[in-house]
Amino acid sequence: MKHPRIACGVAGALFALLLRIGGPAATAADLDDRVYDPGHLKPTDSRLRVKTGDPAPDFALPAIDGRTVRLRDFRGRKNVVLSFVPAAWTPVCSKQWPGYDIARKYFERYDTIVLGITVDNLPTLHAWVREMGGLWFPVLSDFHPHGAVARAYGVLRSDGVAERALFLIDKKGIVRYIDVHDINRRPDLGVLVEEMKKLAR
Amino acid sequence: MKRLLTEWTVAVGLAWGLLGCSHLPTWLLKAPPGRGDGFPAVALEAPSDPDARAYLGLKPGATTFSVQDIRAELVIIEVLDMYCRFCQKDAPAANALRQMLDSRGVADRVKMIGIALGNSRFEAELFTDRFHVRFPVVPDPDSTVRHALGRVGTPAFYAVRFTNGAAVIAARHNGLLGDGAGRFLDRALSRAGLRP
Repeated sequence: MKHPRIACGVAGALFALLLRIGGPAATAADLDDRVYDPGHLKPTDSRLRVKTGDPAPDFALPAIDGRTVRLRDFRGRKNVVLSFVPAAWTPVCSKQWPGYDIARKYFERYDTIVLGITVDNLPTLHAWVREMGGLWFPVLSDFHPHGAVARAYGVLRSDGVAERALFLIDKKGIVRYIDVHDINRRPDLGVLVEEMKKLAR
Repeated sequence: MKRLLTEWTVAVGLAWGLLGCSHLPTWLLKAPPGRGDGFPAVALEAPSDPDARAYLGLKPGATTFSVQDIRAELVIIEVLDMYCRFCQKDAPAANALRQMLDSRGVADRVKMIGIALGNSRFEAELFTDRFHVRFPVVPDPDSTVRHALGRVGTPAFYAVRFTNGAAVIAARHNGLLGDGAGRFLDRALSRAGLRP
């Protein structure tokens, strides 16, 4: 062995690593244990194509319940939150929408519908949402042509997934709030609720 | 000399591994503490609600507190996350556990709190409101408790007793309590030497 100290250091580090990952799982109940963890990612990786005050680009996307959802259908009826999340079966995304699910009364109080969007295909989204126990809001697939809606809003990352991004669109179809969030962290729901409250004033 | 250097290198490797690191993925974090281990003294945001403050026995004007500051012989801590489906599903079981403290006549000696990992105050309050939680749930927006505890998932339940001023874990339950709230409480009370 030419470099015994380096070898021993590496061995020590590997042993320590084993100590870390040894032992019982934190909890079998946590969905985090069953989903793919991509590790820490570059916080944002795209350039916005809309800004607050712009008309929101219209789109039509298939939903997991078989309908086609068009943004313009909500014009004059509801405010819309577009919630882009990067990918199904990943840790942060798998919790963000269950949080919105129990916050339904806040969205309804401010006359707002959530549209959840990822670039995954419909069968994947169907299975993923079932695993979550269902959601009260539509979940849409931006799979084909790949990420076209995410691209139109400027939140398609270079690796083909969407940013973790929120767009609040008022009943006139105008973008009123944008949060392209650090992909590794959930946005604070309280901030979004405050923005919805502003639309109600 | 060479042997000394080798041992030193191994020690550095071990130290690297054993020290906590918040930037590592969850599966690489250290295993969480168990029975007999100390519960970390992490500063938490003190609730503003006067009833919650009185329940926990917090000092007037305190803006932060740790588990060690709670006036009780035993503290049951639920580590949760508003966004976690399993925590939502298990909320009735956690409420049942809180109810058992009353029905077994130990509510003055045993207190219960929730620590909401990665949640803002709004999110912690939303969880409390949505599931009619009957114990204070405090936000931990930076997940400092997770960093201190290690690879803890949600929900997780810790019963912490106080021995000579130190907070020691008497019982731990990982995952859903389900219909096991009574068994967990029995175990916690027994190990803490508390009998109803």
